[in-house]
Amino acid sequence: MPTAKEIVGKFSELKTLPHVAIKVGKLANNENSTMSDFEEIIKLDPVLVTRLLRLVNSPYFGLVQKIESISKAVVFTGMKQLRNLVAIESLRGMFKGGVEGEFSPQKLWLHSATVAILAEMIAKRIFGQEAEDVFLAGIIHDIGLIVEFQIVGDQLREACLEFKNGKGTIIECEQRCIGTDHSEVGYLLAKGWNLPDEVLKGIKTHHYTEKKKAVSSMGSILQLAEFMAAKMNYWPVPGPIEPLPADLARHVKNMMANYKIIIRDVPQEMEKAKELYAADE
Amino acid sequence: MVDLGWDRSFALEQSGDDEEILEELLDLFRDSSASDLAKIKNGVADRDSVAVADAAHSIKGAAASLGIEGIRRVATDMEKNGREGDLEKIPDLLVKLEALLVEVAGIK
Repeated sequence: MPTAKEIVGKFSELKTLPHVAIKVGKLANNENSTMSDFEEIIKLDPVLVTRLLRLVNSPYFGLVQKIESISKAVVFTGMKQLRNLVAIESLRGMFKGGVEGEFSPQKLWLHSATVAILAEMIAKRIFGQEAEDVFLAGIIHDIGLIVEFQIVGDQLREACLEFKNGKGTIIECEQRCIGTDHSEVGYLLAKGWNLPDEVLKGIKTHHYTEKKKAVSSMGSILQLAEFMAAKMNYWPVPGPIEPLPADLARHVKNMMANYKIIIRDVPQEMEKAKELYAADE
Repeated sequence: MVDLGWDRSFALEQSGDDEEILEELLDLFRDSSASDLAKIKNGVADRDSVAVADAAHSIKGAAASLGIEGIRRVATDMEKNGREGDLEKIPDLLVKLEALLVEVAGIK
């Protein structure tokens, strides 16, 4: 069986994250970056400029004036938000391809967007955190499944079938059929993308079943968001819903009133963010 | 009284040394901060600390990009209080913020 590293290596030969996304990621991590730094890099890709401006002017941001340039977008959405939009535009294309067996890339994209929106709401409302990095982690957390789909597709389909038939968690089924799993593969791939350490850790730990991470950590927030997304039927692979680890289940129980409000507000937030995750025309 | 502490040369540098762009950005800031201010006030009225924090976050980022340090600082305090679910200090901070935004109306 190939190792996670070999799988990621093969995938990287086929598909790479656009140069501009990596550069923008770097800029967003640097406090001294200016809006003209962003403008200079992004304007090299006019299609990206158009797409970004469409997103910036969508209801998700609710800005009062129409934004017509990237530098203005930096001022009014923030560097990290802009980084997230560039990531969305760069990743969208990787989630293409028809349904094969039990796996659908489009369903996974919708799932990722749902998890991103839920994770953002949980980070802000439950833990009082800033949520830009959490949103990005939500969009990327399952990228490992896309890598497996492209490189070891047969084994992934087998794993999905086993999962559907109740032969263990998705991670256990992947480990059995592929020899690794999407959290490890996704972590290795994203490591090359200049993302904040917390985001990488979130990808790696979002299926941990034991109490190995803080309830307010990014991995836990992703796990909570994924659980809620699954309950809402935004789950990419048909099969049993994975229960939350005991400490997270306890946390949800204690905060039930707050989570109920999130569940009430999700449809509205999803509607506002529609243009972010809408499929390519 | 809080000082506006505007670093005009930084703002101009951010605007690619283009006075016209700077003026446009300041205009945008006046509009967007007025709308965020209204959101903060509504948030206080509705006891919605997340809404307060989010609107303060938005003002904070825009003020930072334009080198308006006084506003950035007040907005940072507001966001922090809002994220902690504490609305007690918000009315005092609002008074400061409004005074600073009045000053912004006059800068060029």
